[in-house]
This record gives sequence, structure tokens and C-alpha cells, in this order.
Amino acid sequence: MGAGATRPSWLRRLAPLLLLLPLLIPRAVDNSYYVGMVSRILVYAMLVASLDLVVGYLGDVSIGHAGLFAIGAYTVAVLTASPTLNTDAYSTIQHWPQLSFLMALVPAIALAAFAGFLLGFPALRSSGPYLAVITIVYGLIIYTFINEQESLTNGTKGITLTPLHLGAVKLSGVNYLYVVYPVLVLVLFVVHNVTHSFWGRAFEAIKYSSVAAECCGIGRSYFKVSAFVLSAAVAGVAGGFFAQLDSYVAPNTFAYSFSVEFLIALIFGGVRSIAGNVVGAALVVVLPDLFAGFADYRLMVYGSLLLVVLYFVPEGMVGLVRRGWGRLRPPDHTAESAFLEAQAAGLDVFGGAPPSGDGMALRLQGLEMKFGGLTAVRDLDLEVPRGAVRGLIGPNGSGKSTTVNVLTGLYTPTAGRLFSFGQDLAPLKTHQRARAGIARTFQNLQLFGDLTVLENVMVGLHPSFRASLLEVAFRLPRARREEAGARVRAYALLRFVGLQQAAFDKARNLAYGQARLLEIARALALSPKLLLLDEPAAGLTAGEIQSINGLIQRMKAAGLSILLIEHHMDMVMAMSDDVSVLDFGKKIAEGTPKRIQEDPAVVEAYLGTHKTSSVVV
Amino acid sequence: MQTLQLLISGVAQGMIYALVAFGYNITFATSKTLNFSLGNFLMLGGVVGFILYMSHSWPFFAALAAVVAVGVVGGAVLLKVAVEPSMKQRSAYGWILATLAVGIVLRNAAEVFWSTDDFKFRSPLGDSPWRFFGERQPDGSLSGGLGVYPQEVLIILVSLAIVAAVELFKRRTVFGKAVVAVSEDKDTASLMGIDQKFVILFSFMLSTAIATVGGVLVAPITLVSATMGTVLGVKAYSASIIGGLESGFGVVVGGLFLGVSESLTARFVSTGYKDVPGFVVLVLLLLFKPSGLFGRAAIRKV
Amino acid sequence: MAEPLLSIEELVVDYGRIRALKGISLSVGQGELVAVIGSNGAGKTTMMKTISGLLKPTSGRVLLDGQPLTGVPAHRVVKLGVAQVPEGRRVFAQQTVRDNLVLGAFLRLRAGQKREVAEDTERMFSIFPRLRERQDQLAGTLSGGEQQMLAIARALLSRPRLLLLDEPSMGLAPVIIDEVFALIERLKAARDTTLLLVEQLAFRALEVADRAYVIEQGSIKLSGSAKELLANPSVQHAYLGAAATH
Repeated sequence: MGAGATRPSWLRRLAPLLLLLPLLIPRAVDNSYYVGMVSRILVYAMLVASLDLVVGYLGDVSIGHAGLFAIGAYTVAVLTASPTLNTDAYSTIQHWPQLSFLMALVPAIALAAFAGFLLGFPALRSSGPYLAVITIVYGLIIYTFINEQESLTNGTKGITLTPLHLGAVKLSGVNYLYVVYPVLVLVLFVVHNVTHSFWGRAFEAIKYSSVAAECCGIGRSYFKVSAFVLSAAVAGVAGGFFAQLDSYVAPNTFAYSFSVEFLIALIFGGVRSIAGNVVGAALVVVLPDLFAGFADYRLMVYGSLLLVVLYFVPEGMVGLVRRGWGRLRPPDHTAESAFLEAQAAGLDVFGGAPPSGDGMALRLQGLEMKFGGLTAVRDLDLEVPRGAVRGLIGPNGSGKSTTVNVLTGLYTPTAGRLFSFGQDLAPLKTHQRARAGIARTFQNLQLFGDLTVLENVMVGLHPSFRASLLEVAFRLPRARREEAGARVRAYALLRFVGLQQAAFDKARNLAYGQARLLEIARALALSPKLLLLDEPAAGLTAGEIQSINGLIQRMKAAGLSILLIEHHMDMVMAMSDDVSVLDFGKKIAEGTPKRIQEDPAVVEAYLGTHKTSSVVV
Repeated sequence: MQTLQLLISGVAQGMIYALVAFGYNITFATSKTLNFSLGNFLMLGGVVGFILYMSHSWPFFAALAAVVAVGVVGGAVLLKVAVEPSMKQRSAYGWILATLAVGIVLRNAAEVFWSTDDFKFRSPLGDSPWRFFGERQPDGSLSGGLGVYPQEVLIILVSLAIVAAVELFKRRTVFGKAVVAVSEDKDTASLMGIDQKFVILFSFMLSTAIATVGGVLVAPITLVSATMGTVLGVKAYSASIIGGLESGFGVVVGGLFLGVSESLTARFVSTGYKDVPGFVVLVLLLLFKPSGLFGRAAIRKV
Repeated sequence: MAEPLLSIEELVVDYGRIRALKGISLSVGQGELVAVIGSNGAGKTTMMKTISGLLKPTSGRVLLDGQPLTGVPAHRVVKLGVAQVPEGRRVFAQQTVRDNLVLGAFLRLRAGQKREVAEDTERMFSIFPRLRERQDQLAGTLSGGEQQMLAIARALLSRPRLLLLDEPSMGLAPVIIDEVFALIERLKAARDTTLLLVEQLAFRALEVADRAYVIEQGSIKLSGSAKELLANPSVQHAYLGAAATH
């Protein structure tokens, strides 16, 4: 579900009522067992939500969250437990800090967050199955530590905690629920806000295409590690409350199978949805309750359930319901469209400060790019004057895309210098170059598939967000204002390229020609000074190419400098002021389109030499 | 002397890790998926072997043959039920969850339909250690000195034989070369007339068969239980990283390191922490080999 | 004209969301060398992949000797006598030159033709002496030109009726391209394999071909005998665009 997706107003009024419902349960069902179950579901839901941050939003499979959970639970347990309840404790446990629960919760969260931070680094280097293996090992290391360090954790005997007290009142049963429930709602509220903001979009962008995300100004390292830290912090909170659920913790709770169970709960409920997290948690809590002896064969059931869900309902239960609901009543965006249309009406998508600094929009000096023994680009000098369109052409393998990748910082050149408006680009990383005003589109489309078209453009607006994480987490006014403003601006950009009617479609459902337009809109969202178009016309029909030509002319008129890499000769020759030709990584010709077309070196590069010639050159 | 004994035990255990790691490599090479349930297939082999050889007194080789058959069929089922369907899904890592799911189903099924207890598995070569360099007793037997369990020797020999056989197969037979071709470039292999789907099926069946045999091999020196494969499967990843795709013998090196470090840690530090050196090495290796378990780093084309 | 060996009828192929081939038709007669030329992204490799069964067409047919090839999986297309020298050569870099050749003869070896394959391999080595020198080297250590020779030898070892050559000049220095095209001429002269050549370097291809088609943006724009096309300026326009005004 996308950020800020419109819900019908009756549902919005219903939501607070639904939130209050669990508090009414104890009155209706006067049974402390069921109240305990609700408490358990809520605590588990927090853990599933923390897992969702990494698995659902960031897209990394983590099978070690039991370890993060354990850190939260055990920190609270060790800091709050008293010797009176743990008379069987190993004599090596010397210190009983006996802090209050709240005071213990802070270090629990901090420690868990730190553990998440440590996990973030392997995550930067590995992905997919390798990262999954690391997370398994991580969880096992934590488990081993807890199991073995008897002097700290009382080992396999576990720790019995003092039940929560509010002053003199012991909190158990219903009272526990009343106190804990608002905290849980708050945590889920925070998670929801973060995931439905530019932070959540950044996580998802990294998942779909980390290269495109970087080219939108998102620092992959920063956001990836942050996702792990946030996830771990939430897991720490959940762990702390979990310890209090049964007032007892033992290492074997946090074994490998626990991580797997929660992963299954997440997939079953549905990723990227708080409601799904709650449903998944409910599954894990309720099922053992429904069937006697279920605990013995629960893993078999969960495993089979996971396989079924993976094939038939990959979007989870909540996703299934949403899909069904979507069929019954197709989402109606007319109201929001009209609103955005009105707001975006006068907006100038190029209303940014004109580029400062003198000099060329782009200047390459002696650029060389070697990959091992292969020299992809050699001794390249290239200039794009301010406000001009330069075409860059050349046969397959001539080094065009390599040049673009060097420009955006994907590759570090082995020699040569790059400047843009007088600024040396070499010290800047990819996301910094994007922020400095260099935007690009991709030859092989790099869209954020399951985000809406509007949200894709909003990712391009990432550098324009100033709100702090705190403001985002609690939906403070500045965060709300920026988000609303971004939506309007994104809509205006879509209008510019002519895609506004598809604003609420998923990017992956766009027709090919529209997808190319979306990339342009997203690139423009960066308010770029230099735009690199990498084969924007590939695969387009003549009519679609005409639209792109029109866009290029309008962008040029607005003062944008453009480097156009293309194979479609009619287009390049018509749109470019000047054309440079590469072959085998070297520049073989440069000049106006007319001169290039008549240049024998160019003809030879493309069509080859000929011994029998009667062709007009 | 005791250290030498520890080393031999470590080597034997390490060879089991090497076998499982070898299994990981085989399927990863052809299908680019990591079989998260392979450790549980090892358990399956041990349990089926136990049931036939110990509970039903089958002759050992008959039990072994049955275990291999179970492994082969299991690999095919795993591919068809878990891996192939999840590859068709949109999510890139559905197969991680699918193989994970099969793994825990196998483990829990063993617990439910067989037993949750640990059992002793008698070695077909006998359970009393062979002794060397000991003092000769009046009755002719040796005591003291170096004790080596025959099963340990069996493990080392059989594991090496398996790895050698597969490597030879890959290098010397036409079909083996076809498997290597599919690992390198699936599409071009098809252009040679090689049925890459069948090659992938074959690799799955081979890897799970190896794992089940490993289960029967290791059962006499550990205990047979429904959980015997889970952690073992995780530890085998370390051996895979060190080994890499190219060489089966690299996997052996990795396994040896793992087994010996475990043995020594258990004796000189603590049994609880014996897994840690392997884990730490694994994390460090993955940190410095970002292309992952088997990679040559690929330059991503955008 | 006799029944063409290869016949493509109204072939439409979608590559992801792009319509790479918008309905092309062409034919290759027995023993001919037909060239398909066009600049990048024109759809040439898509066509080759579809003929070999690596891609499935959205509509249209590919016929080999009148029998449908569409829908036949790639490994069986080879069995029917169609071998491809893929774009970028795609030798098995991790295996030796000799093993690459063995893999080229995979189907024949499975069918028990060990002796015949050995004879053919010997013949290959005499045509490509450099390959004989390097037969135990890993294919990945060969130069680009040598790899191209290897890829061609590998494909020939399956004794194909139809040999598909996908951009043999790509990434090769002009001198090496001369060698490769000299080889192609020899193959054509021998007349026992039909050749379909896809090339970006139009003039080179037109010099060796009997007939040719020009493909642009997924459609066939021109066709005719190679001699005619060599004399036709439209070929150059197809590559470098309509005459620019500035």
C-alpha cells in the first residue's frame, strides 16, 4: 500500500473505533486468558512489524530477528529481576540492578538498536541468500551467548521477572492490557508513519533498484543501516514487553525456529501492512490455542502454510482482502486527482534556482575507464555547454553507457576528470551528485515497480525533504506539510510529461512508453541542472518518440542542459545541437548532426568498410 | 595424543560439513538458489537409516541404498514443489522462504511421525575404537594410546570418495561438462542441445542424495534426532564460502577448518561456544567477499 | 524457388514490455548465405534468440523445412539441426578449448558418434590451427578473435543444417574481423551449411551475402540481393538517420 493512499472517508472514521475495540474486549469477555491472548497478539504484532521494516520494505530476508528480540527481552530481564524470585540463580550472578521496567526499557532499546546497527554492515555488502545466512548466524550467536553466559543471563534456567507495577498496583491481566495497549499502538503508529513517508519510500526504492535510488539522492548505506537500526529498536521494545508477558524468559524461546515462525507470520498476514502484521501475529498466537497439542506440530503446519501462501496468496491475507475489496469497489481517485490538479495548476516544474558556478554544464577531461584488462573508455574529452543538448552516439560496446555510469558515480574512472558547472565531481558519491543536480534516466528501466507512479516521482523529490525522523515519526506539522507539498509537485511533474491520469497506477503496470516518460518525470523531480538521458527512445513507437522530442525541447527551453545517448538516429540528429561519436571507447568524430552523418569515420564505424563500393557517402 | 584424537574427530565432523557444503554448491551452481533445507535432508537420511538399520534390522547396505533413494526422490520433490514454483513468482527471494519452509516441515514431521528423542546409531564397523600406540594388555588388546573410531575413518574416506567422484564426473564425462556448462551459462548451454531443466533436476537430486548419505555417515558419531540437521546445515555455509564454486576440494578445506576449530574449541574453551569460531569466520568472509558465497563479483549493467 | 530451409512468417516478439519484433517475414534458401543487417536495438538478436528457441514469440511462425520451430525448446532446436554462434561469442570461459568443442558436439556424443566427432574435431583443428595450439587452455584466456573462431568451430561440430551467426564482428579489431569474414566466405563456398548472418556492419555483411534484409526498430525496411543493397543509399540512411538539416 502506498504512502498517503486515499481511503474512503467512512473507513477513516471507522479506524479510531477499530483501534479502541481491543480495549472493549475485556469488558465483553471477562476471561483473563483471552485478555492475555490479546496482549500477546499485540506484543507479537510489534515484532512482526519490526521484521516487516527489513523484509517487506527493504526487501532483505532476515531469519535472525529472534536475536534482536532476545536482546530486548533479556536486557529488561537482567536489569529488573530480583534475587528473591530467582533463588535458583547461579551463584555467579552477583549484581541485581533491579531497575524499574521503564528505566530498563531504555537500555534495552539502545542495545537492540546497536545490534541492528552491527547487522546493517553485512547487509550493505551482501544481499539475498547470503544476507539471510548472516542473519541466521547472527541470531544463533546471540542465542549461544544468552545460553552460555550464565553469570549474566542465568543460562538455561532463565530469569523470572517481577510483574509490572504502577505505584503499588500490580499490573496483570486486564490492567496490563490497558497500560501496555497505548504503548503498542504508539509504536505501531510510529512505524506506520515512518513507512508511509519519504523514509519508507527510500527503503522501498533501495529494494527495487538501489542504483536508481542512489541516483535519486538516497544514500544507500545510510538508509539501509537505518532500516536495520529502526527495526532492531522496535524489536527491542517488543522484546521488553514480551519479557513481561509471562514474567519469565529463557533462552530456548529465542531459538532459530522462533525467527522462522515470525517470518511466516509476516508473509501470512501480508507485508507492508500494520493490519497484516497484526493478522500474522494473531495466527501465531491463536492457532496453538485452537488445537490441543498444536505446539508439537505447529512448525509443520506453519511450513506448509508458508508454501501455500507463497504460491497462492503471496500478498498475504490482508493483501487478499484488499484485492477482493478492490474488485468490489474499484478505488476512486477522482477526488484526489481533482484536488492535486487544482493545486498543481500554476506550478512551474522548473522553478528552481538557475545553476550557479560558471563553466560548462558538463566537462570531461581525458576520461579513462578500465575494467581489468578491458579499456571501455579511453582519453575522452566531452563538453556539454550550458543549456545545450549534446548527442552521444556510437555502435554497441563503444562506451556510451559506461560514460554515463561514470558520470553518475557508479564507476570510478581510472583516469581523467569530471566537472559540472565548475564543480569537481570526483569526491562526490552517486547520491551526492544527484543532490548536486545531475539526474539520469536508464537504458534498462529502473522503476520502483510496486510503488504508484506518483510515488515513483516522489522518490525523485527525496532530497527536497527537510523534516527530521522525529517529525516524520510523529507526523508533526512540518512533515505533513512537506509530504502534501511533495504530492502536489510530483503531480505537476506528471502533468508535464503527460502521465497524470496514471498517477495512482502501479509503476509496473505502465505501458512501455509511459514507463519511459515516468523515468523522465522522476529525473526532473531532482530539479536537475544536467540531465543524462540514456536511450530514452529505445523500443518506442514513432508517436511516442515525438512526445519525447517535445519534452526535450521544452526542457531545453527551460534552461536544462542535456546529454542524450541514443541509437535512434533520426531523433538524435533532430534534437541535438552537437553530436559526439564514440567507437571502441574513443571519440572518433564530433560536430553538427549534418557533418556527423557525412563523416567517413562514422560511416565506417557503423556500417564497416567495403571493398566494392558504389555507395554514396 | 588426546589432541591428535581431537583432531581426527574434528576432521571427521568437518568432512560432514564439507559434504553438505558440497551439496549447497552443486545446486547453487546450476540454479542460483541456496537450498536452506539441505541440513534437514541430512537429518532425513539419518532418521530413515536409523529406522531401517536399527529399528528394523535391515542389512546396512540395503538401508543405505534406501536412504540414497529417499534422497534422490526428495531432491526432485523439493525442486518441483518448492523451488520451481517460487522461481516463477515475482518476488526475487521466494525460494529462500520456500526451501526454509520445506526444511522446517521435514524437521517437524520427523518429530511428529517418528520421535523427538535422541537415539544411538550403531556403526556398521562397530563402536569400539581402534587403538594405536597403546600398551599391550595380557589378553592381547591395546589400551591407552590413540583411539580412533572406525566410523570416523569411514566418514573421512567415504566423503573424500564422494567429492572426488563428483569432481571427476564433472571433468571427465560429457554429461559432467554439460552440468558445468549450465552452471556457467544456461542459455548458451541450451544452444549446445543441453536440457538445462534436466541438469538442474539432476543437480538437486545429487545434492540431496549426498546429504542423506552424510546423515547416515554422521549418525553413529553424534546422535540421531529430528533436530540433528538444522544447526549443522547452518554451519556448513562456512565451508561453502571458503570452498567456492570452482573446486570441490576447497569445500573440503573449509569443512576441515570448521570441524577442527569446533573440536578444539569444545575441549579448550567450552562446549557451548564451540560453534562460534565457525560463525565468526562466516560473517567475516561474507563481509570481505561481498559477491557472496560463490561469486565472482559481477558488474551490474544498468 | 525450392522450399526455403528457414521461413519466418509475421513474427512478433515481445521482450519484457517492448515489442522487439513487430511482425517480420523472411526466408533462407538451402545453401544460401542470407544477411540481416541493422543498427543497435533493431531486433536482430531477438530474432536469432527466437529462432533458436530461447525466446517465445507472441505471434507468427518460424518454420524449418516446413516444420514449425516455434514452441520447440532450445535444446531440441539444436537437435533439429540449427546451431547458433551467439552474440558476444559466449564460450564457456571456465572450460578448456577442447571441452568447449566437446560441448558443441554434445548431442552427437550422446548419440554415440564418438569416432565421427573425433574426426570432425581434427578437421576443426586444421582449419583453426590456433585452437589446436591452445586446446588445453581455458577458453576465457583466449583473445576475442580466437574466441570467435572457437564459438564458430563449436557450433559447426554439431553438423548443423542451418548455422546462425549473431554479430560475429562485435568487439573485434578490424584485422580480426577480416579473418572472421574470410572464414565465413569459406563456409559459404563449401555450400553444405546454410548460413543466416546477423550483422551491424552492413557493408561487410553485404559483401559476403547472397541476399539481405535491413531491419530497423523491429520491422524489415529493405530487402533484396546483396549487390542491390550495396548500391542503395537508403541503407546508410537506415543506419544514420534521415539527412539532418543542421
